[in-house]
Amino acid sequence: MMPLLKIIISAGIIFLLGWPLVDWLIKQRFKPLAKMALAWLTGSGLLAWQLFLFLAIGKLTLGNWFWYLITVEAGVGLFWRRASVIAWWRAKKFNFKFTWQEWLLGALLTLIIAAACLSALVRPTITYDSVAIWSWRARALSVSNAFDFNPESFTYLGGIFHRNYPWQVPLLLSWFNYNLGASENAANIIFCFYFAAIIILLAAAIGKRAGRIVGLLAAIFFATMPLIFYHAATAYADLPLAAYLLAGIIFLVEWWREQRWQMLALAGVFFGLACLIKLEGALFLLAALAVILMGLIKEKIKLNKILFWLLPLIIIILPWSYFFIKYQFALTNIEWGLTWQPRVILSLAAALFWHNSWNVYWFVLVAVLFLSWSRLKKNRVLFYGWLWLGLAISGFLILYLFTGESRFVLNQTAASRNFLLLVPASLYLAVLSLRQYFYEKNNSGN
Amino acid sequence: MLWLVRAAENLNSVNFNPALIWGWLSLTLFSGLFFWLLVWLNRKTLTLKKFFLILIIAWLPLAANFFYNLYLTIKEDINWLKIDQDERRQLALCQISRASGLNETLCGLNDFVEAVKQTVPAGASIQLAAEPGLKSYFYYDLIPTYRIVVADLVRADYFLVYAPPESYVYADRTLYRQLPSQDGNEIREKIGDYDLIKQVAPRQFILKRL
Repeated sequence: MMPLLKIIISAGIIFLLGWPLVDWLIKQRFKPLAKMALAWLTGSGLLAWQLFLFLAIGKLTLGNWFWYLITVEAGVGLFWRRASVIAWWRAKKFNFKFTWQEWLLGALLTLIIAAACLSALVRPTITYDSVAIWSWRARALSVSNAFDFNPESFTYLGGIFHRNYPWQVPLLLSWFNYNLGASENAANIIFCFYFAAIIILLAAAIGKRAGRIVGLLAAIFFATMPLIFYHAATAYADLPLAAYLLAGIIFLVEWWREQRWQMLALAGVFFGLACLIKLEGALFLLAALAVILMGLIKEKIKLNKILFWLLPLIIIILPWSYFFIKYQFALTNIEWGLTWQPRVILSLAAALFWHNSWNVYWFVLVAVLFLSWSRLKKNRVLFYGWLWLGLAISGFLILYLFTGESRFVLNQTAASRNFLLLVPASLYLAVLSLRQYFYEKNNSGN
Repeated sequence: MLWLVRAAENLNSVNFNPALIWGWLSLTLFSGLFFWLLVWLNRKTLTLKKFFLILIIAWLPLAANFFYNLYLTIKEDINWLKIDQDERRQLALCQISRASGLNETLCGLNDFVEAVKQTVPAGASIQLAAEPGLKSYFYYDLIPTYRIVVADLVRADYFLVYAPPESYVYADRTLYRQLPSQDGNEIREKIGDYDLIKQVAPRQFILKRL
């Protein structure tokens, strides 16, 4: 089979796995394209979660049986949501009534995504963490299509570095490697899918609240950040994690707005899946837990509502947590110990305001906060969103300012990548806050 | 135009994109301060539309640089489509090696791996002496074919030497590692008895255990 066809089939089954769940929980609240983006996030998580369950916990070998299993699952899912499929098929109406500005922005976004896909397919895996961790693990797993449980072996539990890192990205790469052949770099297309998912979600979620053109402008602003684009075709796990954080915060905000349990459950799904990408996911999860608990108490909402968030989350992280405890992995790779290096602040400022990694994004974020600060406290939806972001950034700042992790800021390595995780979610919150600010300003006449 | 330049891809590209410097000021800082200034000057009449107009003005110079780089990337990727995967890897490694100031160490990796694949039978156990940062690249390339041993030096069937940080000496079918001693002289530590299978380049050897 042609590699391109294999890619389409390997990715297609992921969309089909995720779509029924998304369709059930979201119904018509988001446009079909946004549902596809969410289906990718959910489906890729669901596929990797099952692979982990069978290969790491069940100690099975990946084989064609897995294809049969997920094909049945996708089939059952589609049958379950057949009413939506039939309704979509019968409607077949596509709304092409766009302004020329929307066409232009849409075309530019398509071009950028296509270019990222081309780069992902053509460029070999040569960045350091890819060959040492993410793609390495996928390659090590492809030797026997099974986890290596021999402590004497070089590939024991994924081998060389950071055995305590979660497995979603390597397992997804393994899935593509299994279908495409391990020597192919085509598996790197998954990073481009996450990039596209973020762009679509930003455009859709912002467009829903602030208008289509604003959503598209925010999406193009995001897509043209040089560091983000580079990550779209580089096998690092930061962009996938950023995608789950964005989806998590979108549905947390939607929940505060509408109080529908489905939104909270989806937020739980995405925050749970974030923990299966990188260890940092746990920091964002704790921040979300704190914000939800605080909100429930402050708004006098029954505390048991949190179960809608907790249940899917626990189901998702349970196999990984079991594995983590069983093999006694370290909770972090952090060098603890109190330090204080003022130079860190300068290095951090350079990473955000001097380098050409983000265009002028961090200047915009500061301006938005400055403008809308006084009104944020009155808007509980945005307040809780910003509180989550504040806690997440504070977590990083504590690590960078007071622990041995400061070296990653001073040598300009992991710091920018950690801030990359928060760019899509903060951009979403910034545009909503801006829209709220101008709406209230116009209505109050000042 | 000054800012339409391409930053060469290097090992740090995944961490940050270097600033485009105008005189002594980075274009990012200039554009950002300009954005703040325009917002402040228009603060009384600011609307969402005006805010985005100001943002577009501030965004454009760096976006122009992005689209210029995008054009070059697409052009290069289309050219790379015409060549096979191994050649692409070789090109990419050499490009990134040069841009990262690693001279030929990363660039020569592919040739060495090819030589290993030609001379060492699949399934054999291998041991590697190389820069710690380079080892991951070798492991990545060699893991599908070979068993990698790190625990015990003498256990591996083959010993690969690729420009390691420490000195190795091969004499009378014996491999030694030179270590500095306390009195300033060097002492030789015997690694084992090996056959030299191939020398790929200076300080690049493939040895088979006797």
